[in-house]
Amino acid sequence: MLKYIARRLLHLIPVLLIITIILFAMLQIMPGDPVNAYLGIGSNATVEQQQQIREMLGLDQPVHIQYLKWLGRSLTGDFGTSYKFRKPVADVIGTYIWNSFYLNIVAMFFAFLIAIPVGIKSAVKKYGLFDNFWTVFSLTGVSMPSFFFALILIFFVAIPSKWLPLNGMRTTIFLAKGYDSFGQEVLDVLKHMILPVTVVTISSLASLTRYVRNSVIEVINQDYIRTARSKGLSEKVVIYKHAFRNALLPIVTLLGMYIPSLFGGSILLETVFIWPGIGHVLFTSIGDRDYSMLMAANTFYAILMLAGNLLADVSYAFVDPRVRVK
Amino acid sequence: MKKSLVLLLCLVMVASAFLAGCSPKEDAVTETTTAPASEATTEAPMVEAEPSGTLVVGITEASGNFNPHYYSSAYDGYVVDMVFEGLIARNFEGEYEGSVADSWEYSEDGKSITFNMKKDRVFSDGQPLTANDVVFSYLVLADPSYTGRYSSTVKDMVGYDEYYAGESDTFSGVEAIDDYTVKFNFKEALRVNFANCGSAILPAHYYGKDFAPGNTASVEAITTDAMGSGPYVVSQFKEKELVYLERNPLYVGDDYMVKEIILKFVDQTTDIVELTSGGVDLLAGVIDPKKISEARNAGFSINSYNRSGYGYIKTNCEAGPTADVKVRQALYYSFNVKEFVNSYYYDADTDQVLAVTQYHPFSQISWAIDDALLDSMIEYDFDLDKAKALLDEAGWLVGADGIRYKDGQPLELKIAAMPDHDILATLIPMWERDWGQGLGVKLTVAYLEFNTILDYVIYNSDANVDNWSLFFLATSITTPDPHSLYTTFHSDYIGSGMDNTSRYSNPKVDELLDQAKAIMDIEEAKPVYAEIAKILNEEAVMMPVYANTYFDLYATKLVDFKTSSLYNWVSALKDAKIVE
Repeated sequence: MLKYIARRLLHLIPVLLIITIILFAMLQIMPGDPVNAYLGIGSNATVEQQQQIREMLGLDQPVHIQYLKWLGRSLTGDFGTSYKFRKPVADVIGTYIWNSFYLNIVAMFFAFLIAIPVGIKSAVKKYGLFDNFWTVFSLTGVSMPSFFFALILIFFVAIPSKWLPLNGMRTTIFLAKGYDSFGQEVLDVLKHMILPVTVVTISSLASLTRYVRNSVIEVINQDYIRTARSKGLSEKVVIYKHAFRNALLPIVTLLGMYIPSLFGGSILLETVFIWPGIGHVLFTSIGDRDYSMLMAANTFYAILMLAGNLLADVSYAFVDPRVRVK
Repeated sequence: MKKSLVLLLCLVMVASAFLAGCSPKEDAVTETTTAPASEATTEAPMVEAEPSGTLVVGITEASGNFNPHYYSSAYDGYVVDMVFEGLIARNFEGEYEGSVADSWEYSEDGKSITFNMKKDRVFSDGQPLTANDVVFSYLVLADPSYTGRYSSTVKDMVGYDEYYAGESDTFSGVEAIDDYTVKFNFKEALRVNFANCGSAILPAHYYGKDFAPGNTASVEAITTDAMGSGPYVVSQFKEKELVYLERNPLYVGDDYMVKEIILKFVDQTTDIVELTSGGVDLLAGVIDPKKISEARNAGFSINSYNRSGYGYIKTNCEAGPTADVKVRQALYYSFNVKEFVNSYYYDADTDQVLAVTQYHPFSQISWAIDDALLDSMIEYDFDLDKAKALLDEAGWLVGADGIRYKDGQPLELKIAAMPDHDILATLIPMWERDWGQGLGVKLTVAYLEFNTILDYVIYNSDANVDNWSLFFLATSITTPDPHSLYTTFHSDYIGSGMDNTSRYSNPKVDELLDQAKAIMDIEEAKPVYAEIAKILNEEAVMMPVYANTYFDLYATKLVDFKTSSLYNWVSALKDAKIVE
């Protein structure tokens, strides 16, 4: 098993290199000038100064040299300085990414918690009232843009309630003057989380229930389930012991795939809820041509995606002995 | 309080999606809609001289770089303006008055200005503000390693070129005569020199700890931990969430009586709800009529003032068909600007058109505008026949397919447009109707994102000169001095990274611009600017599209809050109070 993981890890190195080369090339192809991000739009800097900044940022060098320098620095853990924030990229990303993570992990917990029983029940009573309800719910959930749902919640739930915060992650006055205790802070953040978590949960719930349902349906039609039933086992045992464990396989894969998205932020949702997450920061970095931010963040996501894949495969091997044999 | 002349904000794009405006008003008007008469007790004695109250201001977002020499967003600029002072600052009327400076006098030849400084100014750590700090602040701007955006402040000063090139060890542009007297020396006697003396003053003992000429990195490194002599100090900055400022206890004077200011970052889609639900107390520069009427109905106070700036179409004067004056004039005659403004800016709520059409290149509040100037402008009233005749004259004749040709080449306009842009989405169909079908012009619309358009017309304009014929952008002008035109129409500023985006070159205009900037007396400068405006108007170098109105919406607890286009909410805090 360890050998398998080690081999997979080794394979990741060339993949990652190729990804970074493609990313770097894509940034170079983009029109626009990163010196602008540095100076801000409408600056009065002279052309000589713009050239000076270009040299300082190393943007005057040939592309391959720029790439190699970036690679060299990154390997030592230095991802450069954000042109816009004037801070080390790692610090900027570090600040925002955790805010996105808190939101996503809570939402993911609820999504899986609800999706698994709902999916199983829908599969067992296929085309029943319960199944039909969740089918309609999923379709609606998938079709409705999350920012629209967010606005509906703000206008029809948060405003009339007079208790739920409209947006933000913390209460303004606490942010300015600090919390009295850690417990107070946790409660405050949780209160602000209610609406965004609802939106994220419902939008991921929609597809997740379908996955679970379909995967259970597939398993239920297998011969060994018929065998189990004909042995006279109770329906409960058949479903939860025989069917569910097998149906878990694709869900485990799904879980692995979800890991990168935990650290990703939704641009629209974060904008509407003014959640200080990473999504909106990266989106504006594109407009600003903040190369060092974009390279670092995209590489980070690539690593996460690869790690998620690996994790899915490894856990697959744990759940399914047949994979291990190969 | 030095701001760059032209701030082309990304915000403009975002904002234009919500654009509105209001009928032209000369000055700021406060319409207070605090209905019930029972509330007229605000005349209660207010003798307390202690700052009090909290004001929560909703803004888009500050990035946390509060270094006056290096910040790059207008939102960070708000904080900078609260924390720092310059020698001089603008008052409500837009005129300069002393801030740290007590008085000043010009030398005989008009090239030097000597400022006598107030002796009671201290930085927020208690250290006195002296001439030495002023010299230090300008030394950083002139430094060869300076990478901020305000180098144009020192460019016209004596000794800058030598110091920047490393040929001299000292910068003679700004000298300390004694502890509280500082002298600015300029290469030429120009009217516009004075504004360059107002740059924010940084404490040398704080920002200059590790500074050595040729190495400004240590100055640049101080971003969020700003220290100045201004009325407020930053006591908390939370990225993406807020900036919390408190009244500087060491600030002398009876002004700035609001004790705490919180800049809360809000989103355009919900900011009005935040205001009406009490989450924020002030939204500045609002343009959406729906938001304004909502605030009006909810009993909020409203200030309105003309925007200092406008949205405009610029044409490529160097390459393509628009290089020909007649083609530009034909396009102008067949562009129904009034139809656009009257429909786009119509506010059904008040039955008013909330923007004006203008034909001169100045901001609505510039001192260059007088009746003589307005009378001399050609208004390019919509006239398709005249436009056709102009194109015929220029040699562009209608071909068999209905499109105009000259020397076998079709008359093609390459429009550099932004996608999902409300104004352009209204303008382009109009152009297709009048220019396309009406005149027989082939329109090619390229949808480019904001930064790419800037790349075409500014950053990389030399390489892209053949890629566009016209573009739309909006500009904000932070001075009433029409000198702001200088870099946008002077031929020295054609090229990559520079402001003459229409690539317009006219020796006569160059000469007039050079002449006008040196005239000290505003009244004498006016006719020269009028002549420039007339040439630009006749040659249809730029088509201003709209000049709209901004609204500040705020809670009634904020009183004596007077804003205008050159006196924004930060400046207006000087006289404002919170009455709970």
